[in-house]
Amino acid sequence: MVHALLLLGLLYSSLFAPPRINNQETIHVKLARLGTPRDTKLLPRKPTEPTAPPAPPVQVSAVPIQSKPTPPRETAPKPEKNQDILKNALAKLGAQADQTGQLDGFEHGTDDQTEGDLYWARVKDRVLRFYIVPNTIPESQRHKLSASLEIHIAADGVISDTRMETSSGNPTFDHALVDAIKRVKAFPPPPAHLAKLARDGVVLEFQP
Amino acid sequence: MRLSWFASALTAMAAVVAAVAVARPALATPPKLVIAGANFQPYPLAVAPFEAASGRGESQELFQTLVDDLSASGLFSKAVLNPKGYLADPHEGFTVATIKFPRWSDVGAEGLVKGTVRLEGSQLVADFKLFDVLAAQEQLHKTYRMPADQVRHLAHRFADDLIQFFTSEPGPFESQIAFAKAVDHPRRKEIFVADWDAHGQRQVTKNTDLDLLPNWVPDGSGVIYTRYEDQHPDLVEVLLGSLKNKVLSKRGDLNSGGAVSPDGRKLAWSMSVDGNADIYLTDIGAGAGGEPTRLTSEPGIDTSPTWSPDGKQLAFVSQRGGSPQIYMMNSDGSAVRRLTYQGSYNQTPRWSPRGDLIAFTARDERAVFDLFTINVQTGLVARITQDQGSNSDPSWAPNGRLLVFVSTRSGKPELWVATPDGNAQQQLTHGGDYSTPAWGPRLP
Repeated sequence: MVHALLLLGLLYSSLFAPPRINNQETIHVKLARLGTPRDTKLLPRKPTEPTAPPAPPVQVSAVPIQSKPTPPRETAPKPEKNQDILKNALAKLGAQADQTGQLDGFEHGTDDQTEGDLYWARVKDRVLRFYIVPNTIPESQRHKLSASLEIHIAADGVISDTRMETSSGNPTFDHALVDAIKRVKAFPPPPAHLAKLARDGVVLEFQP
Repeated sequence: MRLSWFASALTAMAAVVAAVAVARPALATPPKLVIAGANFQPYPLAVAPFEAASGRGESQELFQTLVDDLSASGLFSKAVLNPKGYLADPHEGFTVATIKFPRWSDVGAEGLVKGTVRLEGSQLVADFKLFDVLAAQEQLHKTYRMPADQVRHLAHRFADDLIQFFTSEPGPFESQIAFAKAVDHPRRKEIFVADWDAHGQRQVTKNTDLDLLPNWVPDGSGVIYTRYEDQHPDLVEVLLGSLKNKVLSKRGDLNSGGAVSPDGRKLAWSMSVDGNADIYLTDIGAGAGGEPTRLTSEPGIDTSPTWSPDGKQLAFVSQRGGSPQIYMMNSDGSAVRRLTYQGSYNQTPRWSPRGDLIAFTARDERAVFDLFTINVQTGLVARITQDQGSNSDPSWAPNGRLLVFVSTRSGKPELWVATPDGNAQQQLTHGGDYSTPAWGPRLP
């Protein structure tokens, strides 16, 4: 009985025990330094774009270059290393993450309130992307600017109607807002419980 | 149990109240979303080549001068202004009915300038219109008549009118600049006056000495400069009408960096009478005379005074703290305070006509000279130029939206203009040896 138990234990450990990690192979990790704040006694510098590494030389030809097809080289499969195991596991996790909903989704779904907030956040985000105002408006006037537009969103997300509710008094600014909405054209379709609200009209209050 | 029931009832009641609170305004007024954080960008304005019934050469010069002015302003997108970016239909016409607005919209234009030019004897007649491309509407219509040899002046006037239309502020292009420029020999520099873009240069001094640091009299009738006659720096004014020179100060060992107050009544400059340069003030104009008033008396050189637009304060450079830094004081010499604490070599301050900023030259930690501004109220220092050769001697346009300065980025010291944020910069001169520019007032 004791021997049988010992045998079973050995069998279990050989079949189900986690693989031994080979400590000889190291995984190289690089730490990026965020940098120290600039000395306040020094004059400021403008932010500069990091220089891109030189691109590999590209051969340009008007006629496509015909190259002989080379047979695929047969290579013996290499034994899987710890780095590969880790890489594969991360890839699997990444693939799983891609399968579940949207980036801003919730694992267990959302109630109407949260879904509504998310929808209006998406509307704001999309308008903000097109909220471009000419810099011909003097700096001294910019902080006073405020205007409201009423927009109506159809069930498919398309902006069906736009109306200037309150003018800023500055035609250039007002014009930029109308132009921004023209460029937005459409939002994602509103969720069912917001469809009527969106269709009846939403006010966008623009501030500089 | 009872407590749990009570809590549930309260929660239910709260939910009902909240639902009513949300639902009621939803029925009455539409929901409101606040959108803040506008992205201010140059306006995409296209200028179509002008139609010329006659005077084709003048028409092309007019077009190029206008595009250069608008490009330098920093207000308009250079990509759209560039006529190489599109092919305009020469038969498109000049009216809302004939212009194909979608084609202009396709090249990214939201505004469109069109013009027709013709010669009537020695007069150039130009008709300009500004259109809103998206709304397909005419916004501005201007007709100008000028002698044909003033074609550049005509372009500057229309550029200023466009700036006025878009910003509700006067444009800077109908104004002049003064500067020192080497003549025949690098050590012989004379004072010149030219249009804002350095075209139409006119030599206004012929001293065969070293003339530097020109500064305009507020009404534009003269330029004050520093003349090194027999190695002695004197303060002189050249009257632009007659080109006569009038010596303002030959006192002591040094007279330099003269600046006239905005009301034209007082002159501040740096003078050394006891071995140390200090800021002095004297009355000029009608009834002037008497001994100058000494405003600073600290050990260390005080130089380069510049007036605030209201004439109540002066900024200047002082070495009293060990290195040249920008200071400011009341125009009677009281309430002196140090403005710059960043950098170890700050000089050539120029107070903006808007009053908020002082532009100056500073040497950074890599021993490179660049342009900066300091906000007089907040003390915030902002950089204008960087990694583009040596940059120095800024001077503000009369509307405070542009600066002229000297840069060596193209080889020799040349004149450039930049917006105060440095985002738009444009070269004005080529192949010269320019120094110490000063932007003058708007022409009457």
